Amino acid sequence: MTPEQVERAAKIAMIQIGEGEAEILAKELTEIIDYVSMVKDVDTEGVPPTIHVLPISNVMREDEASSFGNREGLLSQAPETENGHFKVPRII
Amino acid sequence: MYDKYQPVIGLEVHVELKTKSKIFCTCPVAFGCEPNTNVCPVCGGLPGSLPVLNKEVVNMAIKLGLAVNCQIAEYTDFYRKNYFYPDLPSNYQITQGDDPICAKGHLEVDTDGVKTKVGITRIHMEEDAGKLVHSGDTISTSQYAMADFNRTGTPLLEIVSEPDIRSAAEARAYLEQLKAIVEYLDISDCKMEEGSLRCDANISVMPKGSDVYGTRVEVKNLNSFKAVQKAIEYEIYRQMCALEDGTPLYQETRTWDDGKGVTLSMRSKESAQDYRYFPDPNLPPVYVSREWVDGIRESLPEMPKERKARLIELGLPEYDAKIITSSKAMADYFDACYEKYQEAKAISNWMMGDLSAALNSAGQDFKNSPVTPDMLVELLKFIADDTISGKIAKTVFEEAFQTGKAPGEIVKEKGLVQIKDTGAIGEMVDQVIAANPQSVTDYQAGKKQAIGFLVGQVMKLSQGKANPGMVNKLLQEKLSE
Ligand SMILES: [Zn+2]
Repeated sequence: MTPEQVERAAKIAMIQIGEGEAEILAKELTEIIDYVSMVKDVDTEGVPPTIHVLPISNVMREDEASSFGNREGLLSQAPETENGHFKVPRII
Repeated sequence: MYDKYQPVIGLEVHVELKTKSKIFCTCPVAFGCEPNTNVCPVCGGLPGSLPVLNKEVVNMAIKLGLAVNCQIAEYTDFYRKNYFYPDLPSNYQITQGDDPICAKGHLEVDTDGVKTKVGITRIHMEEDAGKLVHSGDTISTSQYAMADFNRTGTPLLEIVSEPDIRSAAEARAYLEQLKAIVEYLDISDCKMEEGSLRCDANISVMPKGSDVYGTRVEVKNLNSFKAVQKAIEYEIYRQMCALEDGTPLYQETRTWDDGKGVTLSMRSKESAQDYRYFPDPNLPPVYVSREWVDGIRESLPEMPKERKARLIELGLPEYDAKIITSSKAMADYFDACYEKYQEAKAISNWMMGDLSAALNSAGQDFKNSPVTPDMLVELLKFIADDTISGKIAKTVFEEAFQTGKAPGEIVKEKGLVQIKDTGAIGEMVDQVIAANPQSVTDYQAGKKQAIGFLVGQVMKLSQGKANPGMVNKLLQEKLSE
């Protein structure tokens, strides 16, 4: 992994990295990827990708509505609110 | 220029489903509520909360898939589409990946009588985002925005068409017919103005005869059927001009400015979005049994195409049947009338004429028409048995539309029952003959058209209530005496 790739990954994940950190992370991440790459040696011919780690499927609920009822609790988790809204930075 | 180029159009349509609860949590799906009152830790994107799929969303997706000839997947799962935007509290939208619930369908489209087949690539389930309200007067002067997550997690179906559409009119026809199907299935309100039906268009233009598509432009912000058609027309024209002039076209997203009637560039795709799709580990996959699909297939209501065929069998011309079945509310209204009165053409004439005009100008629709099917049938029966004249019927209709009173009541109250008594009409005819000697002389001298004036005078005297046929006959008899 190159420092440029690290910077791009950080940018799209909105993670700030400091001066010189990209080089260090690139080296460390390359080592991790190399290590994990050993799974490539496993023959996966005919094995479907694992979408879910547990052997469960069709977990669904009936269409019934009920309100959470704690708006103030939710709003209290936000840095800033106004008139029952979450205040967020302007876009554009 | 138009005969040198071939437009290629595909539509992405989003339909908001009218389930009781959201797609992955039990928050109510409701509009016009106080901000953030229909939000919970799941749709609010709080860490540690777990989504659980609403089965009804899958049912609705299968319904639509069957109605547009799709294959229903035996296996389907959910993916995360990752991006940062303040209307998306979890920083990802749960949508579907390579295994959508429905794929490979098609819609038969009738564009002003020309029939084409538009392929449907896929239909997938996903969640809607929240709404942002900007502070200040405009987006550009606002300092911050305020987020309301009531809409977050509302179930959506996205219907992606193949690039099979060749004109703006065909795109509009496709969208209108898709909307009619969704309405018939009763799975969405389908109001473009309110955002429960949304449409984005992918448009490119290539030289006729070529099989290499041109540069594709995505147009957003199409808030009405008219906007869809106008925006596509404009975009085709813009791209053809660019090809003619040799100015470059960019693969980009453009927004439709309805006021100015133009598309404007939103952002270039030079920093192509990387959504890092991956399977949502919190949602196990869904296996759709054939029994499940068959059960839904059996419960499907009559679709516009079959309904149209049925109305033609009842005796309606194809044109009438097409107009009436283009909206479910209108078709239901027709059926309610026909059940009580089996004169299909008389019903469709009034529905497509006076009733449609009155509803349009009052901003109402057939679902909540002040003149109910029962009232319209009562009126039609009065006309058929000569209780009132066609002209009086229009007056009665207007009164019924304004007041909601039954036609029978209005006719009685206002004494509008048609006069069919020979003696009473005869008296009026005599009066008119006496008062218009000149016309009488003209008629007797061979100017047969003079009788029209005299009939009019008798009708006026009777306040429109005399039977016109009888007036005519009596006048002729008396004038040739
Ligand atoms: Zn919720």
